[in-house]
Amino acid sequence: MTPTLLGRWQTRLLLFVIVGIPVTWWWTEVLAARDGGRSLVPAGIIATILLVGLALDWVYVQYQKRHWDHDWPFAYQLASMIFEFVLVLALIHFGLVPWLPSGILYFPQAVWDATRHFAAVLIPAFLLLLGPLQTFLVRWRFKGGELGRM
Amino acid sequence: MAKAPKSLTIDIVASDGTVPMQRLSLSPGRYTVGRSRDNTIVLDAAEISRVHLILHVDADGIEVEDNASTHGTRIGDRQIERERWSMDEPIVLPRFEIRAAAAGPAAGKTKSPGAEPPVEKVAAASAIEFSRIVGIDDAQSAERPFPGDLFAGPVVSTGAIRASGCLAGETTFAAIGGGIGSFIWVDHLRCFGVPAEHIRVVGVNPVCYSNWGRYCQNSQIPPHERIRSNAISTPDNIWGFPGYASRESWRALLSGNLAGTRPVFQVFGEAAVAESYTPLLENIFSSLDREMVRIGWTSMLEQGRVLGLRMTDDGRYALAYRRTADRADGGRRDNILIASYVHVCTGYPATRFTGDLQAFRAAHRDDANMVVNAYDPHDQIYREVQASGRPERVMVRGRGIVASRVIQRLYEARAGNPQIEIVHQMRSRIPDSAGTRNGPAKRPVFNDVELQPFNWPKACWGGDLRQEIENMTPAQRAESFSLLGGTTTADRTDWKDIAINGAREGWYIKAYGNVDSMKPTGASDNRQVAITFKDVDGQMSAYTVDYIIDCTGLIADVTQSPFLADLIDTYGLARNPTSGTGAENRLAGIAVASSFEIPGLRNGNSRAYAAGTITQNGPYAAVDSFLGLAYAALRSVDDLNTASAPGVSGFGPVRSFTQWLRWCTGSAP
Repeated sequence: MTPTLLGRWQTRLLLFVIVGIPVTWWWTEVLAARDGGRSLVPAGIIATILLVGLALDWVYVQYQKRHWDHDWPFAYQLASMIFEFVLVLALIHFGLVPWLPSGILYFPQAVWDATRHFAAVLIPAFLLLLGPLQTFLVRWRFKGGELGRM
Repeated sequence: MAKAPKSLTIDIVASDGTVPMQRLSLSPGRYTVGRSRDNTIVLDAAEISRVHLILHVDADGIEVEDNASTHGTRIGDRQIERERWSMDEPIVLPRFEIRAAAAGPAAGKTKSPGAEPPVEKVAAASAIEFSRIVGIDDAQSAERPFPGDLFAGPVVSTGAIRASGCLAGETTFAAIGGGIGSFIWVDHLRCFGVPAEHIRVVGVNPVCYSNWGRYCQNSQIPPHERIRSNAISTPDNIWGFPGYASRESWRALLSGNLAGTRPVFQVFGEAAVAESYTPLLENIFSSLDREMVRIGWTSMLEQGRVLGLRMTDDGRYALAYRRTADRADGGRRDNILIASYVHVCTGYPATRFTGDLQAFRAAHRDDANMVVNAYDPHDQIYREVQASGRPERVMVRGRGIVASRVIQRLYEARAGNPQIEIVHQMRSRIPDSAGTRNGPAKRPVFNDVELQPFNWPKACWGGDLRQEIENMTPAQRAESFSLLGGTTTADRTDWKDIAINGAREGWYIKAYGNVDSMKPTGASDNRQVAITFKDVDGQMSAYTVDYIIDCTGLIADVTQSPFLADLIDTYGLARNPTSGTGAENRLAGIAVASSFEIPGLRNGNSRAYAAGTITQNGPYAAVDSFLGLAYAALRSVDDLNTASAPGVSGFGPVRSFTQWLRWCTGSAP
């Protein structure tokens, strides 16, 4: 993949809408059934990953430019997605996310829940990037990940 | 005229057969004979040069002129340049002979008595790829070349076309070229909603990959080899999914071959942690075969050679073409097709010899066969050096991907003859630290060759570099192309090993500099070329070699194509600037807009587009690649939608996905 900054942002938002939101809604219902009450924590975490990711996209693009092909291999994509999740957990842990108190991660069960939630978002989102997205958006791969016509 | 017709009838016979494959009556005129489809007589064998010889027929008989062919022309056993043919002895070419017609029916004499074998069988028996002999033009057309006066001006009236009796039909979309570029454009049109009945394709080859396949074959890429392309560069699938790596792995998985699933992991890790995946040539051929059937390619194809394109007075385009003899079904060969939207994608006009090698071939015609272009047929060199059993030294010129493959092929020949040496000639050294720089990025270098997975940085196809180049002025683009293009090869472990081991064991030698002198030497049974180089520091080096293989490329000069030259002249079409120097010089293509429309050809609501190498140095760098052709097709078909061309949908997500499902199931679009 050779995404541009605008392309990264648009693709990230698209995946957030078509994968992140529905999976998070479903996961919130699953937890509600178990714990007897809806929690905003999954939505808070996924939204934080989105914001952190939008910022990191700028860093990724600078890194791409350092390589002759300006390439972003699939392996980097997967690694960066996992990195963003771990980074957000760390930010929460150190109390650096104002809307998510660090207390939400005190129990191992909470970390495990967040990991399963993230995996449920990551796997379909990454698989879509491997090609299936192109079957809907034929111009996407030529626009560095941007949506719409040429 | 005074001569009896019988004396000017010739037979074309396979060297190892006696049955004439074709009998031809020659009226006065000039006839070219060669492998290229443009010749009046086409002899389809690898050892025949593009235009091998010329027959000058006049009232007194036939004069034979060898056209600096690689393997030469003989009359009897005499090598000739130009001389009158007594017709007593045959004209001897590699694999063919031209003889005065024998008495009796054309296929009357057979090697074995009994049933006459059909012509195809003779061809197969002599192992010649004898696809077709294009018939001789009648003398009339030599005097009044088609389309002649009809196309004299820039605008032709549809009334005049009808009156000429040459009108073959009217269509909405016409693709000129019939190669892979035309195919990808037509594939997009079909998926976007245009029925096959509204599309016509004009090209000389029955199959879209004929010409490209020949380049692969000549440059030593057999069908089971991998080509320098990407998994998602899928000329048979406009979405690029599933790519060739997924398909290859899927097939391996289905047959229980777990190791065969390596390609998907390669794509996953390329190019950072794994060598770039490259697809198998045979898989590309078979995928194109399948897609040609799915979209009805044969039903759209008019097999013939395009001669000219003109605007019509009713705001369309007229396309003059000459049907190949075997498709002319006894009727008219000269035809004009009228179309509202045309797409020009005719590929490389010619193969290139660098000036010094061209001069050598011209000055030493008897020894010209020691110098070949890697894109022309030259298999016999590998066979000869492998079988000779004596020291053989082959010079390979250039540092591109073809040079790498040719060196690999010579390495393979070393298995049969360990005395083969390779002299790899390059203009200058490239120290490992001197790779081209673009911003903070540097292109890696190995063994004096810059490495790049594909022929442009990857982001030129669909990344930031594509956008940047599109937004540049023509002058800025030329500068950028000089920087980003250049000759590169792929980072392949097997190729690196050949260079490393060859240098250590002494059979791979590097020579630097430009040619200072070059002359034939040695006894007649062991001719060689003595060659000296002068490098940038004035240092001289001298080598004696048995063969020289020029791997510096194909000519992209659009004016070398008579069809394009006429089009440029007639409409004063703008050209792109040139870029690069020396062998890396990229010649200027026809200027196109970002939509790949040729602005100078707009005619009312009708539009003409171009794609492929003929648009070199324009708004898109990687025009000469599968993915680049897909990009150009997408841009132009999107533009057709904007222009409300009939049947071309907007191709939004729903249509895109349903069309993709049709592709998966093999249903027509």
